Amino acid sequence: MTLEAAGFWGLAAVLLASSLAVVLTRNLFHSVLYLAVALVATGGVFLLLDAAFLFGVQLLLYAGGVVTIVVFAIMLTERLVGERIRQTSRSLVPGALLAVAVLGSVCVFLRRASLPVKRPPLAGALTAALGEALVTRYVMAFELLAVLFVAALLGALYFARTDD
Amino acid sequence: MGLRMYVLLAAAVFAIGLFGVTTRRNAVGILLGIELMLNAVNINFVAFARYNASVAGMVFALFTIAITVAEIAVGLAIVIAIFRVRKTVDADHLDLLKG
Amino acid sequence: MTSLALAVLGLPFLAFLLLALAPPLRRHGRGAALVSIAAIGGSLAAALRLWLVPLEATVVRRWEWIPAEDGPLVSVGLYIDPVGLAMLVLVTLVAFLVQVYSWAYLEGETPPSLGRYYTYQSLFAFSMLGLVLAPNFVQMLIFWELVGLCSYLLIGFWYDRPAAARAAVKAFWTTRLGDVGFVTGIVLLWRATGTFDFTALFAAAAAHRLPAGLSLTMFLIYLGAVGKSAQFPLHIWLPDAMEGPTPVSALIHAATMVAAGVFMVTRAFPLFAATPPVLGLIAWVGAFTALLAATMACVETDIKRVLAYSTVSQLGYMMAAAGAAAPQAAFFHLVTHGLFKALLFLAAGAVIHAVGTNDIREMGRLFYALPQTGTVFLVGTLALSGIWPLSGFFSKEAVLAAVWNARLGVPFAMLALTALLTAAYMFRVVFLAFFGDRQPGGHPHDAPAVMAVPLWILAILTVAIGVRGALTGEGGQSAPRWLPAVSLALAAAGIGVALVTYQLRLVSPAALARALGPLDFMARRRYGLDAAAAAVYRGLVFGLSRLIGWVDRYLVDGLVNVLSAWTLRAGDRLRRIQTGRAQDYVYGIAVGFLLLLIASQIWR
Repeated sequence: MTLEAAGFWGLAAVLLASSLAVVLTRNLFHSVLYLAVALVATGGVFLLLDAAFLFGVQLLLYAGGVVTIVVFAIMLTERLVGERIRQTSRSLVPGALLAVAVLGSVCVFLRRASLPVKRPPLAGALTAALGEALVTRYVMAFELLAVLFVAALLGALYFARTDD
Repeated sequence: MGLRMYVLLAAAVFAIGLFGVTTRRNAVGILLGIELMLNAVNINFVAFARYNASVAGMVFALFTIAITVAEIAVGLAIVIAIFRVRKTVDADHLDLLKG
Repeated sequence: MTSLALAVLGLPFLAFLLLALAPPLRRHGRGAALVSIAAIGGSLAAALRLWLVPLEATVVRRWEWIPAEDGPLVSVGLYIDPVGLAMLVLVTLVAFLVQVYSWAYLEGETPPSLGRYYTYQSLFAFSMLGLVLAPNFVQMLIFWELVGLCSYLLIGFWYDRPAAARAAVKAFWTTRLGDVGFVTGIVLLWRATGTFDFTALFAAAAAHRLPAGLSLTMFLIYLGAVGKSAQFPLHIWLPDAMEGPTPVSALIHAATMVAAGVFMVTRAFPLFAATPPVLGLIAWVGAFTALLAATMACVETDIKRVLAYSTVSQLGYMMAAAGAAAPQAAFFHLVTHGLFKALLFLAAGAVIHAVGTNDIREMGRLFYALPQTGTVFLVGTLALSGIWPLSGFFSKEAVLAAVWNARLGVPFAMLALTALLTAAYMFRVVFLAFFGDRQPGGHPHDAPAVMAVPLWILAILTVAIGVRGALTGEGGQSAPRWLPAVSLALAAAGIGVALVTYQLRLVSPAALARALGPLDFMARRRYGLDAAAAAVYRGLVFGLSRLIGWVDRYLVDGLVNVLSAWTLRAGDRLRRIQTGRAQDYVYGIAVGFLLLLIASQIWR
């Protein structure tokens, strides 16, 4: 077993377990913490795929930013409710059936698909190539992203502000 | 490790996220499920990019992460706003989306 | 030549356009009448000019109308031959005289109404002339229908009278029934031969190149003539058509339009000649119609209806002649009949104008009050009865000779009997209305000059044609020697019956009616034909309406109701899957995604 395979299986196990914990845990706060674990594990997968920069972004933006925001939101709502938010689930069986059906059909689809097994060798620094692509070919989308952020910021402020 | 395994992993995470979205009662919980699904998509993006020696997938993954962050910020803001009005974040009671 | 013919055709049309498009002129009434009369007068002059120049050969002018791959499918144009020219003169002459006559006859009309009358008259003249000049079946059909339309408009001229409106509709429907056959026949003929054109069709007929099995086709075409020329069993509309103004009856329902069917059979005779069974049918139906109508005329008391049945009867004569393969005899009778029947109608109009009633039982001794009208009416009656040397004698003899020569024994007998009846019913009218002993009410006086002059012209022409026939021996099919004597004897017998019954009163009409009991009974009820036609018509229309009503109520409405009920129910059910919860909609998305995946697996 190569190092990569070992890393993959390990990360996969952590990722799947934490993901399941996210959707099954009763405590909402724990849920968020498991999500952080899952996000970090995803970052690890990125690392396995030689995308070191994305690993960094994932860690900083996602695991850091998102989780922080969610925790804030939960604490805010709990403060407003004045009690612990118990997280319950409903109609577990149909949801599970649906999820399994989607997974199964994707698996069937994947069995027929011919996917590359060997990854091609890297042609230079991936992060540099990524950065270059971002400011050349995808510069328009990149700039629009900034506009989106501004809009999202304003929207979030607008929704969350108090009436007075 | 072939690309197939990565895609399968992503599919599994996606299915788990879908399960979360459909079963959670709490609006925040639903948002968490959506995060998981988006993560699965990111795994696919990066994996395909790596195996096809194309940087485009990674750029899109980057965009996805950025957009997700914006989305979660707006989503949580909406949850809070809803909570202010309806005094609940239970998705069963949020049934205004019908004719 | 072409331009003259176009002038004949075009002048009435111009008059019609002018009157139709210039309402002030039309509403002026008298002005409209002048325009119309001037146009038809010019038309008459042009027709006479054409007629007087001897015609070497048939002249055909065509203009392309509906283009097709190899040559035009349909053309419009002019077909000028001796028969057509004679018909042109007859139509323009009678139309001219009738329009002049109407000037005085319709003096009581309001100006807009009078303008409308003359507009219709111009359109009718144009249509009839176009029909006569048509070089192919399509143009003929178009003018044929236009003529029918004018007839409808003029019968219903006094549209505020329910009887007139009903009669107009009845005439339209009945003739249309025949026209269905006409159209179908024309199309079938085109399918068989590939052309509508008379010249091409006649050439094919002459060279015996016509395809076999045309009998049904020609029968259908003949149906058109049955409707238009009031042959049994579609004769029922013509007596009712007398609801129109009397000049209209004279022009359309005696002299010209009803003769269109005969004219069509004459024109297309080479084609009919190729189908002997149809020809035989034409002769039999014609003879039967002649006899049937004559019996009905004997019991009618309305002077115009007597003349109408007499017209039906004489049309039967013409058709019988055509069926006996003697189109020239048919056409000769058409022309002479056109003249003296127009004369009779116009004279009857003068009588009605003078006494204010149509009922001959309320008339009497009018000859002394209206000597001029009485004289011309007598001339017309003698001509119609077939008395030598008036025109009717020669044409009727030609018809009888043709039927005899064609070895059509029973039709000949029917026609001979009809000749007797014709003399009888016409002199019944003469004795009852113009002689007899009953004093009419009021002070009837002769018609004004504007009305009298046309009458005299027609009377003189009737005599003149007769005298010309007597001098030249024209109309002489190789008739058997005994025929003139027999036909004169029949006429004399008819006159004698009328004389002893209605003038000398040696035999009471009631006794005569009793002697002929069932026949009298049936004739008075028009043999139940009108009732039968009405019943069939009603049955068809009501049956169809009921059927359609049922289909609409139960099938169409039912379908719609079921659909709407299902839609409502389905909507009610489907409403529930829309919970308003975003999570449930995720199910929808996921299921849709699954379906897409499955579909991509099945069809790829």
